[in-house]
Amino acid sequence: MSDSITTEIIRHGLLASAEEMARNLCRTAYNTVVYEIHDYGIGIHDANGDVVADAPGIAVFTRGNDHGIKEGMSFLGTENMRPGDVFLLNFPYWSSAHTLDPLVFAPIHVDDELIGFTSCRIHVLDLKQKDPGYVLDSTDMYQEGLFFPASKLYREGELNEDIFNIIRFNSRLPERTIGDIQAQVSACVTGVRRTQEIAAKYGTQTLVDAMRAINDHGERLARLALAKMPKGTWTAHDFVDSDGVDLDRMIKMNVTVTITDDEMVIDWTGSDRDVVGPINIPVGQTAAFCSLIFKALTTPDTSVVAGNFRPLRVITEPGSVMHAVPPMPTFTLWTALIGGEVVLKALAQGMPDIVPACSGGDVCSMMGLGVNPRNGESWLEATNEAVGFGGHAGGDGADGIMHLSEPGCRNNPVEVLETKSPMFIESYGYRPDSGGAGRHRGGVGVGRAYRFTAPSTGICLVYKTKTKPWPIAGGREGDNNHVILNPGTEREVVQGGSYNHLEAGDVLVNNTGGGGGYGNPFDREPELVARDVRNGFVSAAVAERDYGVVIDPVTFAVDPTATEQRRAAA
Amino acid sequence: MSRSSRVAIDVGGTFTDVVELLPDSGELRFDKVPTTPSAPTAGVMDAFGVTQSDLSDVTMFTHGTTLGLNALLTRTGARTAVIGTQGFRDVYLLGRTDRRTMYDITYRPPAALLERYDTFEVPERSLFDGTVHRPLDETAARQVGTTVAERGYDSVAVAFLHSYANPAHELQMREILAEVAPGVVVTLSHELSREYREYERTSTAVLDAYVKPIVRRYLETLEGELAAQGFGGRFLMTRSGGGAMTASSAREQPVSLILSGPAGGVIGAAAFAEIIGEPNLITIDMGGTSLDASLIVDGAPVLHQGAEFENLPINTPSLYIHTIGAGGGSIAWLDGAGALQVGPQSAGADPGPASYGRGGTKPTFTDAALAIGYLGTGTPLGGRLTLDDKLATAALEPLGTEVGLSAMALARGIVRISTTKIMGAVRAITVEVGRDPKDFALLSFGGGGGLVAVDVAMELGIPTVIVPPGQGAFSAFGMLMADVQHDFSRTAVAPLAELTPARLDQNYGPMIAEARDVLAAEGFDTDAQVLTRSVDVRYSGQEHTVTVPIPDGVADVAAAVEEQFTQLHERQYGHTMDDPIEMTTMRLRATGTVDKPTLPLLPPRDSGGAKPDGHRAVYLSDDEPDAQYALYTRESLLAGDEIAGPAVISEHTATTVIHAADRLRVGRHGEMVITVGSTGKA
Repeated sequence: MSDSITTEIIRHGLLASAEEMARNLCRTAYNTVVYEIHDYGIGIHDANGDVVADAPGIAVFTRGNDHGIKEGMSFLGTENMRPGDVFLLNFPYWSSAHTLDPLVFAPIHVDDELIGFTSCRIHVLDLKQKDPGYVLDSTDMYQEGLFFPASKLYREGELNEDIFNIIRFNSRLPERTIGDIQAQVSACVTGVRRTQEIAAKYGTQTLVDAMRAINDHGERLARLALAKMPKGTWTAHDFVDSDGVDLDRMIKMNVTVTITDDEMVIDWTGSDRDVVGPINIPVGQTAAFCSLIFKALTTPDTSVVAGNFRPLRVITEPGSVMHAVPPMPTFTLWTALIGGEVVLKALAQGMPDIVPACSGGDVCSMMGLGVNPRNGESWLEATNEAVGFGGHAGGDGADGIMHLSEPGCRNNPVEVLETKSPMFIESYGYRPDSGGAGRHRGGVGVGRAYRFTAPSTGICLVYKTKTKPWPIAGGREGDNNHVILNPGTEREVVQGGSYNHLEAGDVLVNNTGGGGGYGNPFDREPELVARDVRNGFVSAAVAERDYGVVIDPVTFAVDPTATEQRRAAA
Repeated sequence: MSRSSRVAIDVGGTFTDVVELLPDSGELRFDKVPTTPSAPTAGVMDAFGVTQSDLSDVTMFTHGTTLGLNALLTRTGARTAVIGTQGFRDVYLLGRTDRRTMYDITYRPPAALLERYDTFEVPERSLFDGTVHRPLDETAARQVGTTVAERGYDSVAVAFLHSYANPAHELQMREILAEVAPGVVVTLSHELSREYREYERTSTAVLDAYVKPIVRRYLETLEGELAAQGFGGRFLMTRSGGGAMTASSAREQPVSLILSGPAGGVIGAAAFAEIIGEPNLITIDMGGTSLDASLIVDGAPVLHQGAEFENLPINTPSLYIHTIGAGGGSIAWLDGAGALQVGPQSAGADPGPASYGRGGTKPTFTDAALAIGYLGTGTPLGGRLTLDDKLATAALEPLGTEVGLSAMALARGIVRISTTKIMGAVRAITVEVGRDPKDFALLSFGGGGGLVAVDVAMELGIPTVIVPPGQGAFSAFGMLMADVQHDFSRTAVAPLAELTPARLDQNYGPMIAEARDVLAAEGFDTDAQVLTRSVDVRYSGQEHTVTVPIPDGVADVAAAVEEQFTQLHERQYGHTMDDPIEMTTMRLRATGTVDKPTLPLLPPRDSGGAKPDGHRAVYLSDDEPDAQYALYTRESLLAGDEIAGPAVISEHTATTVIHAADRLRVGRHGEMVITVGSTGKA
């Protein structure tokens, strides 16, 4: 029996354990994607695989680990899970991510009783997917790398050399891939040990009861918030640029969101079917990003527990882009990153004072790889890039912040990229005038220009370039994401998601989108517009055109008469 | 022999602590005066006024101030500009573009110290290996400098890409600024940090520039006032990285003052570790609103490289201090769905806990400790404030009703939850550096630590709790023990096998020469100079490093470092790898040692033992609602006294609780050494 105070104490203990897992992971991981940009998902789960404590990482994996553990349990049978086992799962339809985001999980036993799991998901560098780095154009799942269907990395504490040898002989980057997987194992084992200590201290049954109470409490918090939200049904759609194979076909994501007294239903019926390329996502991934949005709307201030999501129901059509079925290709994942704001777009109709306008709308990743001429070794570096956030009823959107699907991520520093790879960064900074105009301005996006000093592969992971970030309540759209190859030359190409074979001297510019504006820009206080001009977020020309504010470009003073005339004439 | 006394003055938010070493008796005198925020130097001179020493007799004055921190908290620092590499003026404001709140879809970052208008760029470019890709454009640089002067900035931070590898352009920029903007105070990023990651280095420079004019003015005024009263001794400031620095160093690198607030206690702990022969200590310093946890390993404080102020990185070595919102004033509350939470909101000093009787109505940790009998109404806190248990109960009852608990059971829960949070903080600082809490003793000081120290120790398997004498002013005591320290480092990524004697000479030669020059200029002759070397090591391909000391007089240095690294990695993470090992940064710590005062001895008892003043009922659980705890007064204990738990030991500014299986023994200097039993109540 766990009283309410013991439950709180156990909750703190589990959260501290999850944080310890994350620290342990970050300090032993081998690739910058993990330790510089914090691309991971970590959890402690109950015996059903439902998360009871997590460590902040990539929000779009919210509950993705639960899904993977549950599939692993049903495949293996919990009776075949022994103390000291550690599993590797990257079959996309179970792990709810692509093959390069393997889920490592370990059962927690006390006296042979299975009481829960620890889990750790990260991005690893290579598991024999068809192309080095990332896959943008697979047409079935068999092109996407080796599958490990909850294979035992450790069997009752003994390292299973067979699995590691398979990776060693198949991966293009075996040392770093194995090093990262070992870091995942280390994190999971740490979590198991800490949870067992909690069980020993308070009693196993008390811990099990506390886990249940934690989830029940999480459900109550969500229901309280849901009760305060407007009720109704709203529909919206947006597009992924393409499926990566048929580059001219935009892929429609269609959502109907219903809020009742008891639940939120996110229904993706009407989204595109028969999508050829790997922009399809497994249903576990759809549930995960819907969970992220639901969490943000209902219980943003508390850590994730599975109970938070009991009032959420996600409906998908098997075979559609939101619910791939084997052997459909699913590698690129980007639908999940863009899809969250389609839900917000629907909700914006019913609650324009709660939901912000669209952000730049994408994670805007750039990955480079090749052989480094300085040491003859293969290199791979990646970074996500910040976008502008949407204006909202409460104020301006933030300038240059990581997309809401990956809030824990950080950018990869210029000095780190240049030290570790043959890339020379020519510039990195805010993009003036990219934020949507509005009474509350959309945040500006950023741009980073990479010059490759050796033949390399440059992979651009940006799939919202053909539609612009939408505004709210009379604001303007933000500028869209776009990638420019060799700008200002005869070989200039403006593009989005792309796998580029680059020569020494080629330049890629990753420009990210600005947020949509909120409210009529002519209602924005002229002094705020002047401040934006002084700070170079808005040019004087755009201030006059979009905001109707006339500003002296030298003193940055507002010309009140001219402004009044300009605004009156509109 | 003239009288020579030492004084340490630690300026806190409300009170300024003074500690004075009396030369005749070797005795330490503690006192307090009110802090004077509007006239900071006046408060310091007031503090000198309550000492028995004449300023002309003071040979060493050690000072701690929160001036820099306050300027940051209130955003009242200098008007600061940043100059970066062309194409990268936004490095500072962009930062790492992350956010700490996971699910806030309308997130706004904390107020910045400056705006984009204040950021400038100059055509120039160095590369990661230190080669110059593009020389600094002097004409453009001069133009930027002129603009900085015209716009009236007080201070400017210069942070160019890869300046850690080649500082030439930053140095050139300083010369240009001296010429065209002579009144502007300048900070160069490479002088504070020689490590890569442009944002972290730039942020460090900006924080330094932001507080520099204020700190300089303050120190100049104070030095003037001290000199006017005949002070001719050594003037030291405590620093975030441990130890002290001369006031003239503080004027040049005030960023080292920003996080120095809790430093005195940690320095004191290191000194105390030696005095009592316990080289490994976990320290907890629990005040009114927060708790600072830190480590002493092998007699020295642990440093780290990842300190922050409000998410703004400070990339200089800092004492490894973990702060959580758990203090005496932490408020207990229920979240929307009925779960009990404690802190981080605090009732502070005003109105303070309900039991202070100053109008507070929300139940706090202090109220809970009073209700269950850890604290009593008989012993006034700090000799002045008498707690009111009826007010405490009145504050607890409504919350208890909401959760279905008696006021007592709720109070017990509040103390347990606080204990759990403190345990989390201790675990974070021990595991993070690969240490098992069981290998440490727990040193508790500050007002509230003694109430929970034994519970925390028992939960974490820590065998011994130590409460130093004068725990309320322990921080000021620590300042008297501070040596002068400087840290030097060079990023030099290479295979560990290259750590040969020749390579060591090559890399450390210039660092050692610089260190010795600096110490000599500060008046430390060779005998008083201690230099220690260490190197950051990792498996090739990893990012995070482990800092390993470089042993002296070993033939194969690389092998010795590798052995230590492998052991640390195994202990910390449970595995080792076959990958090659590489070094990344060579570090040098230069210490100028000062003579330490001797801590006075507490006399032993002639005969008999300590006698309790009485007993008090302590509520442990519904099953044990009135366990009898013996009451002792610390001031009446003598060296060698032994007390068997359960007992409550109260003193002027703090209270210590031990449980049934715990044993307390008073040491030679008056420290209380508690052997933690196995069946304590948490």
